[in-house]
Amino acid sequence: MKARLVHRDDVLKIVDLLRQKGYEVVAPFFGRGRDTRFDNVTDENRDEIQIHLPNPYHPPKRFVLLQIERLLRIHQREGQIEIEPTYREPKRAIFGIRSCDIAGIWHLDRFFLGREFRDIYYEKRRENLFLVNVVCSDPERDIGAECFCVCSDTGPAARDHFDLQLLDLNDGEFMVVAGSPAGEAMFADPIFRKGTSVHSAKRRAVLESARRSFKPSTTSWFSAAIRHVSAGKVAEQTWEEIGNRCLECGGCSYVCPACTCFTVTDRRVGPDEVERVRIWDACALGGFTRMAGGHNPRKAVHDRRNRRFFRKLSHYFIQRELSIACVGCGRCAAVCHGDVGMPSVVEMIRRSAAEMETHEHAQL
Amino acid sequence: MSTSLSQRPPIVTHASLPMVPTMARLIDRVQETSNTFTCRLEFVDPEAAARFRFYPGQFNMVYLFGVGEAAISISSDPDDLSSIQHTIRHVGSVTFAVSRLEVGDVLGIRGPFGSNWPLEACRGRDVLLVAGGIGIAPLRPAIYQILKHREQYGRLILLYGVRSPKDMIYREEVEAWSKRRDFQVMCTVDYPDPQWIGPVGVVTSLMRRVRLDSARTSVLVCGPRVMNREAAHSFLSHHVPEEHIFVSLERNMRCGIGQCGHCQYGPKFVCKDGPVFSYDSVRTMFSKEEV
Repeated sequence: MKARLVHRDDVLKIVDLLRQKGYEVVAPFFGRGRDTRFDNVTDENRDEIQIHLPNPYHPPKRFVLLQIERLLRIHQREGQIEIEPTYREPKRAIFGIRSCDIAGIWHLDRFFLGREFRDIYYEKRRENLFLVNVVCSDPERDIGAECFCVCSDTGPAARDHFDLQLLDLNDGEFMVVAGSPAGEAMFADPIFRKGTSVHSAKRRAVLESARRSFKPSTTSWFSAAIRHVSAGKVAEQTWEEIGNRCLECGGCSYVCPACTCFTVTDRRVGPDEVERVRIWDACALGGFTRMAGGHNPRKAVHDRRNRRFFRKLSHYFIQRELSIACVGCGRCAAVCHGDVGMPSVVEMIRRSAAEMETHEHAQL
Repeated sequence: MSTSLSQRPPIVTHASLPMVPTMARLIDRVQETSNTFTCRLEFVDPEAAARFRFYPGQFNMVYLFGVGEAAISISSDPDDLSSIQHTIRHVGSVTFAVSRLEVGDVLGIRGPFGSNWPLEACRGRDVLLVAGGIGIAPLRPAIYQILKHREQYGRLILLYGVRSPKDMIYREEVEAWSKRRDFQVMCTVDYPDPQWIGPVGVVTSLMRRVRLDSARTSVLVCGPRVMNREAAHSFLSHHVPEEHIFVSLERNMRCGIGQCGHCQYGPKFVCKDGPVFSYDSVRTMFSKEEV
């Protein structure tokens, strides 16, 4: 991997370079109030792009896996039916994507491209995607109270799967690491300057202090939760407790960078035209598994919660996907009104497992 | 064991676009019971028809334009590809709309998807089929295949349970099968009518009438969930090996290719790891109320 230096005032020129190369660039902005969001960069808002800010609620997942993606279009003309598969191939760059979301996109890559059926809709969007990762280094602005990427081993600096990675050295310079040939090709521009070993030492120091700025999190018990979930040793009662607190809103799935489930449905777009679309779906919702005729094999909410965390943490899926399906962004914890996001569930599982340990009840 | 995916027949629809349906025309329709019918379909495009192959037990996604899609098992003979048959009971919006189609109407097909009945592994063994209600539909292709190569199998027994005599589907065929000397067919009903002279009770009650050679029997089960569980458990208690009990399951499905997540069954996806599972591969989920 090659690395270069960029002066603080030149960082946004990376966005300009990408736009010159024909990329549609998406970058983080402050919204009204305290919220933050990813939005398309235009000439007007280019100067408002933020480098350090709390990670937006909505992950940039939606730029590769659209919330509503058209799969095909069906025309009906004079009794004749025509099916026309459609897919779009945007040339898009995401500037300022955090390491947890990089891991999320890599998770989607493995899911949609690494299995028996390659998903062409995802593939077309992913092919031309350029990712500029920003390492969360500022304890005040970047690292939130809910963040736990250090536990899920996805951050604060992504190891791979980005094109460029920016790290603020806090002295007016950014260190830029190229993670792909496309990223390295960017170094041809004069804004990128060579650095010295002093800068790499500085990088290590900044990263070290960033790692230490994470708040203590219950997700440090991840390995215990993974073991208990995989072995099916979590008491039914614990799932019921979790289920009782779940409001069945599906929010956790919609903000999760690693959730992939969708439903497929028809959308009428004209008198003789129908579009077949796939839409994000969530296993928390009651109708997720309901079959025609009304039978629902996963009717109880705690069974649906059980399902979600089995999918995310069980050994079976880790084996197939090389990591847990949680990237440590903390969004589920931030969004959940019942406080049953990943950190709380890990804690509840650990606590219930501890109560079942035989030596807890040993006779003195 | 179920065939691995690479050995399975290709998906007729564009290989790289498994979500795109192929058009098929309804050429014939037989009313089986008051709410169940068998429709015969033919691909509009002869090339698609030439590509289409399937194994017994696999299913198609049947798509009605503007209405939606449902997973329906294929119930015709895998060797007769001039048309494909689906036996459908109207319970939801898609199946209801399909029931309203007229001969000549066009619908969409994606498939075939899923695993198949392990007829290879059943060679040389007794085959016992247990069907409940419309559960006989995915078993019918297997019956055709076994009857065609009858000498390769041991005894062949069908236990078929329906709610009442008028709910029996493939009635004429079942009668023809029962007349064969090499095929033992037993039917039972929950609610008999005055003409019914056969046994009454759930389908598992028929098992008392069968003398099983458990070690050399393979069991193929398809029916409602409770029946599947009861049947699997009673065969286990008769010492049929776990890996020779096969169950076909059903779930809400949206894609058929293991992506949409609706049919997840423990660590399995019913659409691509199933619908036919050997009991040992789903043992942990099978006794649970909700999975």
